[in-house]
Amino acid sequence: MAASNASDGLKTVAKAVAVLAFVCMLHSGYAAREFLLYSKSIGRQDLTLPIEIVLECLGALGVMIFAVVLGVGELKPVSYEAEMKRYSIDGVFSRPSFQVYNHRGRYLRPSRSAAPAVPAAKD
Amino acid sequence: MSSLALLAEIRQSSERRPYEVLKLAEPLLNSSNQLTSATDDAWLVYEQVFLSALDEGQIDLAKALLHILHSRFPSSQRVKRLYGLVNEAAGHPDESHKLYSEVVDKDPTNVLALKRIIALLKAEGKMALAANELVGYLDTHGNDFEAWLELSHIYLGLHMYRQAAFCLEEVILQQPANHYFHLCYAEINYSMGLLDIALKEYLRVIELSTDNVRGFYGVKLTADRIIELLSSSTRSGSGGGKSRRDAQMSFSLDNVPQMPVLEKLSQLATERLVATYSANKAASAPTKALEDWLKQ
Repeated sequence: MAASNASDGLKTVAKAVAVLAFVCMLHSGYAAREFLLYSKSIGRQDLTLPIEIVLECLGALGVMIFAVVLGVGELKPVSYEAEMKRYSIDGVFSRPSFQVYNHRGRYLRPSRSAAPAVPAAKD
Repeated sequence: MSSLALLAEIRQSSERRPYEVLKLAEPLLNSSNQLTSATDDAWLVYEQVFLSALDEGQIDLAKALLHILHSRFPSSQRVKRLYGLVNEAAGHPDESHKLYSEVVDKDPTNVLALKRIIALLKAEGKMALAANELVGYLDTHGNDFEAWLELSHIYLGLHMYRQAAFCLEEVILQQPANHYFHLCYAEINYSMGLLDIALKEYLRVIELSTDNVRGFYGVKLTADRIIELLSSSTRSGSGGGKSRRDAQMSFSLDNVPQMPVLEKLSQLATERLVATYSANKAASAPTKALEDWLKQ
């Protein structure tokens, strides 16, 4: 219980960090646009972005990637073998549309042949 | 876990466990408000319980459930097919056949009804006829792996191993990563004496699933048998004996791995089998006997 609480707390924090990083990314985009507009208006020749804006954008991207992965919850194993563990050989070979019903099942538990209380049809 | 969740699990696994289904469903059916609260799932549960009731021979319960389903989905083809199933279980296959034929006449692409017609032949024990019909069905619906699997099992019942193996090849083409199909294919080839293919397929099984006991047994049996054949063919070097032995074998010894590789494979299988069984703490007399057999 405590462990699940802790991981829930981590998830909430991670989600908050992801949102914050996204806002930072938007901000860096906005700053870049402002910088370019300003540079044009004062007629500057060199239009490379200042290092702070580039760093903010890349840093926010990196933080967001980690925060989203941490906040998304339990990750499932990707191997097909892990997926196949869910199936049993009986299920895989059962072929439901070809099952026949004239088998000995009705004689196995004849005492139960009195049907349980039949549910009334709704509506 | 709630009984609804358990029922859903059984439904998704498509295993046939009618007794458990009925036991789980009985309280749900008796207090019908519980089932309605499950909304969409409720109809699936009704269908599931219906099929289980047929399996257990409780025709009255099945009919009551069918009535509920019919009042909800009056024009559904899927429900119509359930009427056919009731007739099958109650011992009126002719009426079922009439119903399925009607459905197919109206809509020749109704796969479920087409399959039921084949299943009816199977129920009557006309296996060869059912195989014929299935071949015709697969001409148009070649991507239906369930039908290929069914055909393979019908052929197995008729001891037509070569045809059964072909059907399983089709299944494997569609689901190449499912080790159960590789296992079945390996076992069919082993039965035919095609040990080279069987060995390859058993190895594929243990590659696709960790410590698969059935796969390792296959590897061990096949590898040991090939080693035996190889050593006896080298010992009786004279031409006459060799050709006689070749006539007995249904595969060529050129296609198998080298002797050291085979010995290593056999060793590996023994090692993994012993490890798997000793990991299971409940060691008993059968386990002991098995270990003795493995070590000989």
